Amino acid sequence: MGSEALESQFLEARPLLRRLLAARLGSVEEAEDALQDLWLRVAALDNAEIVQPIPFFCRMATNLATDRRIAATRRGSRDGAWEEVQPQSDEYADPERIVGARDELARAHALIAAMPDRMREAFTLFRFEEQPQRVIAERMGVTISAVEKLLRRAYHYLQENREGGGADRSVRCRQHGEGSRGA
Amino acid sequence: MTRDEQAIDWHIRQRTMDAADWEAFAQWLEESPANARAYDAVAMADHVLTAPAMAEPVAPVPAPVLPEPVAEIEYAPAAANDNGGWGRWWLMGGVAAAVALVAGPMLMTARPDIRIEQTAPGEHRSIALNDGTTVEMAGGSRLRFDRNDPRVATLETGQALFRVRHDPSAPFELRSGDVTIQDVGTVFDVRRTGARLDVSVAEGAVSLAPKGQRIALTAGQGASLDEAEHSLRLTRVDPAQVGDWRGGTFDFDRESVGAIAGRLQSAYGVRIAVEGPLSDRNVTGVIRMTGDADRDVPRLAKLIGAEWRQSGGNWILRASEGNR
Repeated sequence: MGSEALESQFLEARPLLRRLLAARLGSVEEAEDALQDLWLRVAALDNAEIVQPIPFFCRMATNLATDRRIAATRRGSRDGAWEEVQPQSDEYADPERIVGARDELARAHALIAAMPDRMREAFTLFRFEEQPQRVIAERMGVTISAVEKLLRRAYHYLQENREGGGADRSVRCRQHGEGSRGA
Repeated sequence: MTRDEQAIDWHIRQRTMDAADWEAFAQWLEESPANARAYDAVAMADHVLTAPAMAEPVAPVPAPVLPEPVAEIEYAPAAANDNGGWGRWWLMGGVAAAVALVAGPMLMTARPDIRIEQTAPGEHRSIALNDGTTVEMAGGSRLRFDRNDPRVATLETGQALFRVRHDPSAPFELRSGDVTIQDVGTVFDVRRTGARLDVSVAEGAVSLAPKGQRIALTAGQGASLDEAEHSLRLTRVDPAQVGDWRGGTFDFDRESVGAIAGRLQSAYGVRIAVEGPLSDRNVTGVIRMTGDADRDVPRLAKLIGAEWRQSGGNWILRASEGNR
């Protein structure tokens, strides 16, 4: 059961998902490819009952886009179909990459540690414990909009203090992603 | 609001956005490539974050020299049985340096009050433990929990993805066979098939303790143990792909066709019999499953060079003529 319902829900959401993926990935072709990938994942959910399918698919899509963007950054200039790159040697986390990721993580953790207490509390509850803002507000004894403000400031602070020009790197990779496909 | 601030706002709101919000988000992304870039920076930076709170960091592991991973499907010779006996785990691929011998403190546990969680073939189940840890169980899996101690679990068989809520004063411990895995704030996947245990770490680190040893595994690392052969092999994993079985991606790392058939049976409830020596043939590779056996089994058969047929609801695989 369920799979036809899922399919029709997916087809209904498809135009929106395609727009999201194309905007995120900067290429219509890659968006189509990601859509197929997304459909496989959705189809694998099988009997799952999804209460709000469109927002659910959209979140899956945007997470998938982020995964792909990160993979593309790791691959550097290489572009190509996701499935084809899975087991190839340069796809594996090599020691250098692990060290790079660890450095990045260590920096992020240092930044989180240096946050003002309230900001850190809100951010930790939101990001690592995945609490809804309403719950965070209750726990911290403040309004939801105060929580929102703290979160905004936390993300802003993390962005501002990111080292190594993350934005430049993504710009570079986006350009690679736009043109030709295939290895 | 600046562009960056808008991007952050979209990111923060995402969990509660409805369909109309998503339309508006798509429109905002489309308005300008700069918007998309700004959002990308926020999402990518956030994506790499894992919970801090590593109270006792694991000693850094020297980068192991690992065998070349194999592309697509390829037959790998069965690992030689060194039969070294307990306490002499073989580290293949020259990774002995990666072993840290640390005597860990043993946890004293209260009288256990056991709760069993079991999934039927083809069933997925998510379990939230009292301590905030979540466990996603694959089909055909069996886990034991102790109601008096949420920080201990035992994987008897099957596969599960653990997102452990870190507590430095009470590390989470997963046991399977004679192996203990202790988290250091982490997301990791564990699979038990008979004597074989496969561990992959997506985030943070775990400390893996087969008898008498302790090995640190960090994100991007995995280990494949065989308790019958007392062998241990370190593997590289793509952190982004750990737990991908939930989306139908199956990775086989030198696994016998028989064992793979068992995994598919657990995952989808399809009965697959493997005839003759094909059952012992080892396969390495990654396959994306659709969950539709009519498509998946023939595809798998093709990838491993086998013939398939159906008989009374069962699938039967055997080596194809040229491949025996």
